Amino acid sequence: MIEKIKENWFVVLVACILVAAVGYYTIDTNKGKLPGKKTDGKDVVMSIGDVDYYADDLYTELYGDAASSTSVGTQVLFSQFEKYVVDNAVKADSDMKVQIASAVTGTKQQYSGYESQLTAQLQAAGYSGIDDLEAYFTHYFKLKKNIEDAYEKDIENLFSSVYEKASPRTVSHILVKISNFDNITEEEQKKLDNVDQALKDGKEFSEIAKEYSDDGSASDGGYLGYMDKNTSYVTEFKEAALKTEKGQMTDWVKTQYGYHRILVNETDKDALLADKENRDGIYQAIESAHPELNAQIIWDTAQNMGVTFASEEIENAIKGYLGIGEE
Amino acid sequence: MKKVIGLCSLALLMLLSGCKDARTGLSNGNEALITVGNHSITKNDVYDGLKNKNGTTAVISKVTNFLVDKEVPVTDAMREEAKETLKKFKETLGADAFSQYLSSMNMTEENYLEEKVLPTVRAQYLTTAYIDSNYDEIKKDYEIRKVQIFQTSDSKVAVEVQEKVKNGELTIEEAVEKYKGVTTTYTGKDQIVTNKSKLSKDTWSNILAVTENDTLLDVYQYSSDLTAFYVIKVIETDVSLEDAKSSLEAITSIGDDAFAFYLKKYNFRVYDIDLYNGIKSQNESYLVQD
Repeated sequence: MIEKIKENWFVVLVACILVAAVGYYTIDTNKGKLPGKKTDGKDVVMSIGDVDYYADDLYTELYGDAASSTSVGTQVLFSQFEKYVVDNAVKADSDMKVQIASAVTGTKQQYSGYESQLTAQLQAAGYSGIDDLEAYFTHYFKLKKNIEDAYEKDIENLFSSVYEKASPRTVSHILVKISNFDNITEEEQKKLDNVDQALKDGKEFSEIAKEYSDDGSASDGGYLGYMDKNTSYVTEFKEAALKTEKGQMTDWVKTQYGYHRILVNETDKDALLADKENRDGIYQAIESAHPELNAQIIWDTAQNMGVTFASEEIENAIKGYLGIGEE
Repeated sequence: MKKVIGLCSLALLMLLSGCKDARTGLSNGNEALITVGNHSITKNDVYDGLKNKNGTTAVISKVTNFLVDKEVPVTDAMREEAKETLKKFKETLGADAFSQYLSSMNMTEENYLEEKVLPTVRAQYLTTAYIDSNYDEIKKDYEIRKVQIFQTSDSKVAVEVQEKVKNGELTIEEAVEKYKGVTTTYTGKDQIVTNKSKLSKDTWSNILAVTENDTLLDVYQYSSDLTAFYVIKVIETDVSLEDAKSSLEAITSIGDDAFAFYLKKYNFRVYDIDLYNGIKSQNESYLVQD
């Protein structure tokens, strides 16, 4: 051995220098790094006094009852299951990538200075922190697409039940804001009168809305889009809009915001379905009319990919969480 | 030679593998809970999710239980207080929701009382124990003083009261009673103030400058934005533990100091970067390791 080292002394010297350099580099880069601890081959998460607390114990404590559909462990397991199923069932196209990038940028701006709140919210949703924001929105948009694609396959049927029960329609409005109903200002009254006169003169509703409406929809000619009896508009507005026929306009409707003139644009089922602008409203209406449907869609998507559970207990807990009965 | 090179490479690999912050995993963490297609969701995946969601709270709860076991013996009064707290919580939640809550944590009502509620009650006494054993240091750090304060938003009233108290026509307590309509916040009775009390920097300096008990500050004091005016008498500059205790217990930072003190005493160490960061974002003073 010594003879061999003597013969290759230069190689050994270089190896020693290399090991020393890497050793120094390693020690230097390890400075400030959090060290780990193992006892009896198990990872320790923390120690206090002479007590070690193991990752295995933390898992058992945090998971709760594995058979329960409401335990935190079942919730987290379902969230990972859903994440994998949806993320692999749906491909992000270029439009979705733009939506994701825009949502990430917007959220970061919105929470600028409040990053700890955003981190807490992401952690509550099972993500590690702000670095996972893109993953969060990627999942969000893929889940949305997975659900909406499934709705589309049976949209006629699904929308039929909504149509029968919820009186869907599209509406536009003109709002004249009133600061104090007991003391309407001259300016406010003048605006009300101008709207009435323009309507009397036969001017287009959308043109009047653009000119006079105090609502953000003014630039779209007052168009609010899809609504039905479950839409969260103020009661007076909603009731007036729902009892008005297609092509008709209400008289002035008083709400907490001011006075509205509401025009019902469309009530026909096929026409509502044909207009792609209404899709988000229709999807929401379907979700609200069939609350069990989204869970079934996730389950069906997973079944198509092939699913096996480690135990019947886990399978039942996940089914219970989804509200899916025995098949 | 190949053996030497092989050994060197192994040593380098082992050295380099230690260059990351530690992150814990389960001893059977690779076991699959659900398999979708050819992808497995393992116990470690769920462990990471659970750790991010509730890990920090669980660790803090665990160390709190340890500390109260060491420092705060259970008394009958604490047990009664815990039972009462649990009763109120149960009433607020409703019997069904409470039962579901317990089941989600896989706990019985008795477990919940012993492992969650009683430690919380005992934890409140951790601060008391800390104050009892470290009062001299706390007194120095927090510059505790006993004072009487009259506060008003009207400077003219402050001038008038300052004069009357100085001449002995009124005590500060009597002044608060007399000027009920214009005085705010303080009762005029003896009270404890510390450098954490919300008094202006100048006012606080003037209080600290007093070395004799029962000294009325020469002139009336005022807040930095001139919206509040004070007449202040320093009653005691060396306040006893008995007099200061209940006021100190109400100071949040002393509660944090107490917790950090005992964590250090029992050498609390965290070995997982996610939990370390979680605790750091909750309260950095709880991280007492080097």
